[in-house]
Amino acid sequence: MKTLVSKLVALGLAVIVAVGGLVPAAPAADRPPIKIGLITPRTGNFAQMGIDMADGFKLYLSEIDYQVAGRKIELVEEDEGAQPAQAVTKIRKLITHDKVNLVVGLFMAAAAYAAAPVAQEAGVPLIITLAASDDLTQRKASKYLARVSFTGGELGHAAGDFAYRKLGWRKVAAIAMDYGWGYETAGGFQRVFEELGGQVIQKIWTPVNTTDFGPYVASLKPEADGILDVVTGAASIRLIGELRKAGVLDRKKVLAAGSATDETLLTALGDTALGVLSFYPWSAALDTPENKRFLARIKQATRKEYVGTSAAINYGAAMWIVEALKAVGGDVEDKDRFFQTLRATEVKNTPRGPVKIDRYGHIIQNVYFRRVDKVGNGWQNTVIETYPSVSQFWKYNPEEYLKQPLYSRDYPPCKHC
Amino acid sequence: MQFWITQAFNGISYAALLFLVGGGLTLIFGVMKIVNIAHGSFYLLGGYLGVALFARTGSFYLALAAAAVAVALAGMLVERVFLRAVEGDDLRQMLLTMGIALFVQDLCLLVWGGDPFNLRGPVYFGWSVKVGGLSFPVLRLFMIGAAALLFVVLWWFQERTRAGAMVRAAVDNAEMTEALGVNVPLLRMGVFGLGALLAAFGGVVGSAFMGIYPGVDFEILPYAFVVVIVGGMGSLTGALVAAVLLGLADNFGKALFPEISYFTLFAPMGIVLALRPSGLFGRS
Repeated sequence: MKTLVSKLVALGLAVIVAVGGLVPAAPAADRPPIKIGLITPRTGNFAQMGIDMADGFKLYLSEIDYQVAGRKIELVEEDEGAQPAQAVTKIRKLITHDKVNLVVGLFMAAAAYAAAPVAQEAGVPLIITLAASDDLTQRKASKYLARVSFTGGELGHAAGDFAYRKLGWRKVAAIAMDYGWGYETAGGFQRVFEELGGQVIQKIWTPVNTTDFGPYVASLKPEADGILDVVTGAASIRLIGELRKAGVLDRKKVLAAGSATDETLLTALGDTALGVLSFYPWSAALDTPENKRFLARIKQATRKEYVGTSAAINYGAAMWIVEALKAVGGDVEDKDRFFQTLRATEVKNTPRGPVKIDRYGHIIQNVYFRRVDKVGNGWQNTVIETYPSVSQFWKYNPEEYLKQPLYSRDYPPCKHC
Repeated sequence: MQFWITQAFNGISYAALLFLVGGGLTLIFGVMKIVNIAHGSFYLLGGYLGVALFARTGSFYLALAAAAVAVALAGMLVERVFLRAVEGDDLRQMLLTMGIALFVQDLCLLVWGGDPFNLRGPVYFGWSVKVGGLSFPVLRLFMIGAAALLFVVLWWFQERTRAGAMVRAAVDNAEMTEALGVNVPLLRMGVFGLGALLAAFGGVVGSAFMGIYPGVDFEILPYAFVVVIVGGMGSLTGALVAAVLLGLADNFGKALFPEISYFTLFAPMGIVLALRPSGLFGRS
């Protein structure tokens, strides 16, 4: 019986295919494909980040069968190498040789700063889907550039508010990486936190390749109500492990920039990170139907149990771009119209929540406050609070905001240290 | 007082890791005169193998031993097949080890992916020993113990055994040693394997201490070279003293002058090189 049914189904399918082949091709097929250049690190120390980005982006494209508004989408992938020089070479190649209609990706801030002028000069829209430096969409914003990931200052502002109002912190010790991501996140935090009346009483800048955090942890000021942690990647495992072993995590709360407890790190962090709070624009534990659907699909596609934020962000980015392509009827050649449409496009149901951009090109998005919890045999970032529609300028007036300098090692100055 | 004791303890435990990595490199440097860029790769390979074996067997010590031996064998193979082919040509040897390092880097990315791992080790690695209000993490105590034990064993090997005497002879004058009937090529292969073993040992211990991830090979390499250069090429005692000096300098540098922590780490190297160009215990 079963075989008969399957035979019938097979026959039916065969008929459909055969008939389908007889129907003349749709006129849309005459139009050339829309070419998208995807540039992420595929070699070197950050290769996994690049692979995750591409996995997320391609997952959505495969869901729509690489087709929009009757045109095929052709994806050209390139290796950023997380090096500015290589990023410039590759983005030139994408634009002049592959003749892509738009470029998506970029992981490293320095690479994005180097590549942005190339796209700008050629008049090719560039959509950044990870590189986090504030100024790419602030003091150095450019006409054809948009960013749908996040920045340090943007997340830091929300975290400063959360620490003061929700956690009740008044004195904070900050430990942050000694480069842009650390400066901007800690700077944004400090500005909002101190304007509310809090005090940042210590700022420790740790070199990017710090192997032993023991000395820093031992010198954290004991009078702090809580600790702001802006240490990312594998170093985060060492810092949180050290905070746990030294007993700091038993006495105080730690509020970390989300990359410190990203899903891709949770297995390595294990129980050491239990109770660590963090802020990020996504969490795998986000309880929405869109996110659950995304997780099921991406886990299937990558065969990984823990999928990181970069995949979720890039999946949402693809949704947003495709939505704009739909709105212009696939007519990506009219760059100005396409870019204007991008600016007006809002997608409400991406895995991370709604996605739209401000007039400087940066995303307006939800910031989630999470806590590392143990669930069964695994770990997750349980969402405990959502700040909806956070702007990169927080509640400040953009023009006023841009008059002050970019957050840096010495700005805002540490008045209470 | 508490501050000084905690920081000194942290410094010495970090020195233990530095010794594990630098000790193997100094042996290779001394006997073979090879600038082994692939030393960090042995560390990386050891770390990943340790994590994988620990996940399979659940025994940290078994994983440690098996990973160290496996990488030692790989090291001997590299010496026998590749390095011997360009023996006596320093630059080519260095380039070759560089090539091997890049190869291993990509191989590990392919096999284990790019997300970092942490070797959790036995339960007691997460504990701390409390003495009068001070807490000493067991993992750090283990690192110090392991490095001390290895130093004693290696010192005994080098100073008290016949094979060790041959190694010392080969460090001073390889040709003369060979003329006396010692099989120097075999000795070289053995020493290269021993160096790889130490690096892998450091890699397994290091992946419990700081995790294992792409790029750690080239992060650890400069530290290993500093240990070798400050201590003097080929000297185990030198490597130990240099590791302790660097560990303490790094720790107190970070704790007291966090803004210039790289300076406090590398300044001792500059001073030692200026006063004693062949290192603290090196012979010119």
